[in-house]
Amino acid sequence: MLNSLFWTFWLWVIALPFAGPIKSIYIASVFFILSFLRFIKFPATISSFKDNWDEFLSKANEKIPYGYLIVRILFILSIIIIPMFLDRRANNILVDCGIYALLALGLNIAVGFAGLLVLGYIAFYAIGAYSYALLSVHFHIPFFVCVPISAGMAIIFGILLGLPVLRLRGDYLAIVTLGFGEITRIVLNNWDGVTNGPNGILGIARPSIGSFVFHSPKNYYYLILVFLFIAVFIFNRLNNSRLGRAWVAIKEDERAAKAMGINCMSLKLLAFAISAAFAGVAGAFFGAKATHVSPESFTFFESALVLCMVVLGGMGSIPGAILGASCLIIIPEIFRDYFGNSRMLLFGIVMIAMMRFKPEGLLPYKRRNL
Amino acid sequence: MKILETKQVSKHFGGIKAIEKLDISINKGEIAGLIGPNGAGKTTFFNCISGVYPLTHGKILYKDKLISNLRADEIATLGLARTFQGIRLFTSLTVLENVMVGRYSRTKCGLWGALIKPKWAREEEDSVKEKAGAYLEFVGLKDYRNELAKNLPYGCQRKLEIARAIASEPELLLLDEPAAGMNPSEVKELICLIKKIRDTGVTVLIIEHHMRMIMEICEKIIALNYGVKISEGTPLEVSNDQKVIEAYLGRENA
Repeated sequence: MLNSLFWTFWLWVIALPFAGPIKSIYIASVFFILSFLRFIKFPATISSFKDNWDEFLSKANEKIPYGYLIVRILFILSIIIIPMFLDRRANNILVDCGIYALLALGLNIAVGFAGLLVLGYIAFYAIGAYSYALLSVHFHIPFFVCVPISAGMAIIFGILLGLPVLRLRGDYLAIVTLGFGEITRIVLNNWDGVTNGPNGILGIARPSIGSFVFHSPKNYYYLILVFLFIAVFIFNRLNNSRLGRAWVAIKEDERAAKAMGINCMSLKLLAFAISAAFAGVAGAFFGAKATHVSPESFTFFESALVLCMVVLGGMGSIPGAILGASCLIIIPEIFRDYFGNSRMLLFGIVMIAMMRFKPEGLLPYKRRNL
Repeated sequence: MKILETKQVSKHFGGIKAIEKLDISINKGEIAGLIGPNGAGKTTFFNCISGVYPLTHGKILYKDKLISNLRADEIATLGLARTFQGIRLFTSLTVLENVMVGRYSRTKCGLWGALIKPKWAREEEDSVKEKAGAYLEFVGLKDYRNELAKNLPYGCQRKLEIARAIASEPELLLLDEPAAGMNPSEVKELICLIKKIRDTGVTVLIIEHHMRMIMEICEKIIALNYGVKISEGTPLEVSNDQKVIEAYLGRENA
């Protein structure tokens, strides 16, 4: 009881700057009632939450022959029908989730598999977006032809950057890729002749199949869903292959990996290129959805956000990347209604708590039993 | 027949001569030991052979082929496997997957094989799994198959490192202090294991401080001190060599 009161008060103080005194009382009292009813144990709020979560995960990992399949089918059905019940704004948010999930999956190949800390990942996203934008505006090339071209451009830049840079390790690699991200944005911002500078490129064609043009958020949702399925498929195949094992080996111990006959340089380059390709595709999709690209969409903040998604969800994990992306896109949107501009501050606190109490991520990747 | 031959190999770190003009030859099918006090340059020598460090001078021949200008992964692919002094397992992979990584150089499934998974790639993956399982059984880790490598007890980690190394079907195996930190019964098991490996036709070169083990299994011993070879011969010859005794115990009346 006393403990509950203490923690409720603590929560009120924390919420105070974001929500004002009155709203904070509402929030704190909800928690108080919950704790009073023993839904939440306050003295060890987060650790008991962690225990419950771990238990939930271990249960979810147990495969119940038919029940498991049914849950899967229900899950897939629900993600297919969900946009029908949502309004335009919510669907838009879902499409953003999809784009970021694609980015998080891509970055996961570099960070989660090969252990390459890339801080300028958004540059490849920008390259993909501008590739499609320029091809669409100047040459009227349809979206679905441009997707592989965007991916190809991202791969080319990935290899050009990777060749000299992947010899570096850890922090140094992070710094150089961070620089690359900034260089890309600054070039886009200043190369007026090609990129139209800060104004960006307008009037990018929407994707179309035959006479059907994707126009509403709902359409885009299904399109990104298809992309995501393909991405998950590729990710999964890579993960459970000789390459996937070799990447993890490089991440864990490069010297030992070399002693196993693994050519670290070329495999890192491959991971980097595939990772860039994912971002290129996501970028093309982003350009097609927004019909407008400008350098301000490709700031360092975006790179950091995608990295947060990967880390929050759990490195090397598919559901983790998707959950991470969903959390980091949806939660700030929900906070927007309650906390306004200080939502990012709260968001930061949530991230810190997360790293303190569950550093391996929400849905860490569990090695399969072979 | 010589499987490994070094000619005037030197490795200097700045002014420190870790290895100086070392001539060594290892015959096919033997178990050879490399001994010497701490800092004698034994591990540096292993790192030179396996391509971790570039040489300062000299040549290393493996099966009469020059390997001292190759990268570490190329040398490993030629059939020269090694373990490490401090255990270097892939800790977040399972025990079986660690050994499967060891099969890397003997398989060839690349990006397209992984994505499209044609029949040969599936068969290759199955055979990798099967062989990795067999190697685990060979070293006696069958029961730990699906454990994470980091959760294994110390002695088992050592064995796993050996399993991973022999999974690449090497002709020459370099073991860097395999018995470090093991208790007497584990050492006994290790001796059996190394002999078993040699009986499959693998040449073994061991760095070890555990003298009883070295004396028991090695057919030839090379002693180093300060990066220079001070003695070479059968265990009996080396253990009676005055220079070796001095290197370990110091000189009388010094």
